[in-house]
Amino acid sequence: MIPRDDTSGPRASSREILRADGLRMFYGSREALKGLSFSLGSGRVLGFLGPNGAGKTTAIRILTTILEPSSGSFAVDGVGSSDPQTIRRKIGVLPESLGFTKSNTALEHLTYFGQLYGRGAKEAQTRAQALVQEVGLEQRAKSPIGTYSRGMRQRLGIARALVNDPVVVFLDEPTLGLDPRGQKELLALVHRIPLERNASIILCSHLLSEIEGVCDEVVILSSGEVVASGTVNDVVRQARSNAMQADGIRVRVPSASVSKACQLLESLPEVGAAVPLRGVVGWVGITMVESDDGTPRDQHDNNMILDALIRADIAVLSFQAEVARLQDAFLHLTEEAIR
Amino acid sequence: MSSHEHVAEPRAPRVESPSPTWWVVFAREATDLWVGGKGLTLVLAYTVMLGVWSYVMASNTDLRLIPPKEMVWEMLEASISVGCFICMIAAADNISGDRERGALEALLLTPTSRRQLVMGKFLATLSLWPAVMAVTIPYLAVLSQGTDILGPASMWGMLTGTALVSGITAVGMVISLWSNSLKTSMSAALGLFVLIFMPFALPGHAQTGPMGLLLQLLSPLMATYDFLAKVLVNNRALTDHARPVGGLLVWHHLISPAFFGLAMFMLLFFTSTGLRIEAGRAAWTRRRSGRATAALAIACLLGCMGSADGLAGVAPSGPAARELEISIDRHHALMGQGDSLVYHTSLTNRATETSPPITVAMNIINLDSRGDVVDPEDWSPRRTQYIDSLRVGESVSLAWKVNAIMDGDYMLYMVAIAKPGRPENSVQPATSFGIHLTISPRVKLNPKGILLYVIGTPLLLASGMIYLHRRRRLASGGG
Repeated sequence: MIPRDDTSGPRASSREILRADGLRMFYGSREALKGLSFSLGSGRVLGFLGPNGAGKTTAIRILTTILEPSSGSFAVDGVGSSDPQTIRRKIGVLPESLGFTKSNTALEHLTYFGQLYGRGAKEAQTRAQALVQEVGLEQRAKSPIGTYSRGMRQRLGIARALVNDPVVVFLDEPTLGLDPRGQKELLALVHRIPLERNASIILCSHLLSEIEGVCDEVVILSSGEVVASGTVNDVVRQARSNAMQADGIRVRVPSASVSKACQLLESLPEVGAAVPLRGVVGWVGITMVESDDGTPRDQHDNNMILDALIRADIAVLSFQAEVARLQDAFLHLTEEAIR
Repeated sequence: MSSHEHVAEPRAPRVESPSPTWWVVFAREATDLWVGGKGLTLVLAYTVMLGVWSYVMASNTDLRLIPPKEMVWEMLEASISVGCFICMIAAADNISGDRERGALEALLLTPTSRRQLVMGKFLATLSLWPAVMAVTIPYLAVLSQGTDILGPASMWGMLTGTALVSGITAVGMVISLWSNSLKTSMSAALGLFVLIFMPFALPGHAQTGPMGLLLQLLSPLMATYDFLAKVLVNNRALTDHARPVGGLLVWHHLISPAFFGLAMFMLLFFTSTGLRIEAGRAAWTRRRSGRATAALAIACLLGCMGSADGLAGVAPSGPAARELEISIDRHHALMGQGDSLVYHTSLTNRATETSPPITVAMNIINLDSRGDVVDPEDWSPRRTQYIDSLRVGESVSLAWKVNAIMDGDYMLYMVAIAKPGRPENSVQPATSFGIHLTISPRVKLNPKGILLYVIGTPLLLASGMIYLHRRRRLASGGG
């Protein structure tokens, strides 16, 4: 996973590059998007999260000018949504469905798209060559796309999204269907875009670890509504303040030892409660007792929990000491919205 | 070098101007169509079909009696029909297929105009038609057997075919534009294609008279094929088909395909702005005023086509025509020497009183001024028939038979004469429309030359496909 860096380089820039105000979309009488508003700074990476049918694709299609919103507006780099032609010159998109012509080579495909952005044939070809190098496809640049692996196609899709030097790049499920190595390589490529090009990114993904690792900010949608937005830490904190289970300390023991472990841990003075987690066999959720002045407890308390379990000869199969994770926030917030 | 000597300034690097979007799209799509193999495969399949058809026509003892002109005409009809079919299928697949494959979204994300995208795709699809014509022409050359029909056949086939195929391709594209799935667009296109060709499946008598006119109005294909038959087979001069309308000569047969091609292209042109990720109509078609304008335009178009085709059926009028009306069930016939033709005439009394006895006679005139004089008695065993009288509004149908005695170009016509009441009276005979008889001499088509094309053309195309495939494999570093 690529570490998130909130402060370094261009990603700390604050120039507003994308702003959405009250975007709404109706399909007949069904409201698919209920007033989406957010803004994105230059060089920042925004994660778009939401369960299936939350309105993510509709939101992305509106922001990429493929769909016209029923109401509301947005602006990309100062260009209002009433001028979609100019917006298209400023954005790059990796759609979920890549739609390559299999008989084309990567060079032919990128040259074609360069020409569609108004470049002359030679200039587009030169640009295509630079892009295939940038995404690491130079060895197979003259092979038909039909012979490419899924990962290579995704990289070509990213090259296509960069063909016009966009200020915002929309990536819809870029790692879908890739093996772990392919995911890692692609995320490394995505991570380089804001750093090297100072372009902002909107990343749609179902892989929360991916969002957590790459994004500076996150917008969580559920049933067409924004249920949380802000930096990843803000969203997690917001979810936790809405009464999440435990502090996030979890320990996994053999299922036969769960009740024994709960009893043992609850007997410790630093532990407020230790309960088996629902739906996940063998996991015990632990809530620590808050200190008198309300400050967080010492990190060494984690060691104390492990020590107690080991002394009681209870096998520790897994241990998660994170305070809370985006996944918890996501599940909690979207579940709450559905209720 | 003196200080005043002019020193040429270094040239500024030439700035490359981008090509128009429709051209970029056309070039890419046409390359994909032809180099990708789909276009070549379709044309190859057509060539094989054409080869088999030509060989059968040329080598079969009975079919060889068909005059070369007629064979050329038949083949031209087939090539136009196949061209329409191939282009319509390719057009129906074009946008809805891209939509289904996800390729359309990527194109719509670029700042190109929707109209230019559609126009580029339309032209690329239309590139199938010249290819169909190009492989047809050698077969036409072989079948024409030294007659002078090849030039006119190629020219008129290309002209009328281009109008028709453009219209059909545009229709296919519009269907594709409005379909969310490939299955929908293909079904709609095939259904429409069957409808367009349905008039040809009707019995012969349904294709003449008012019904025939209506069919011509509805089917530009029928008008085109009729025109080609008259020009190529019946040796009619172009001026024979032109009717004066408001001081201008109008080729009524050509109006229908030309209007069809133009109207369908305009429909595509104006609906192309509605190209979207999800199928839907252009904004103007959703407005009531837009729909009303379109309905008005279509009504005007149909009116024009109808009036133009209606000209074809205007019978010469005269004083006799108002009282006795004689009509004939066909206007032309292509025959071989020694063949017989049976036709019918219908005689109607339009006067306000019962007619006197009527004599109906058949006449034949040789249209070649240097030709032999025709004796109708030799051509028909019974060239005169008699009717006692006809009551007011009564009609009678008469059957006739004519034998093609000599080859050449003839006009056969019928005359109905009411018996004058007194010796000093005279009457104006009623005359029917003529039947243009084109009688070919007994020639046998030489099938020797055809084999070269039957085998050579598909082989040449297949070699081209293999060469392109190998070249791409080598370019991509494959074995």
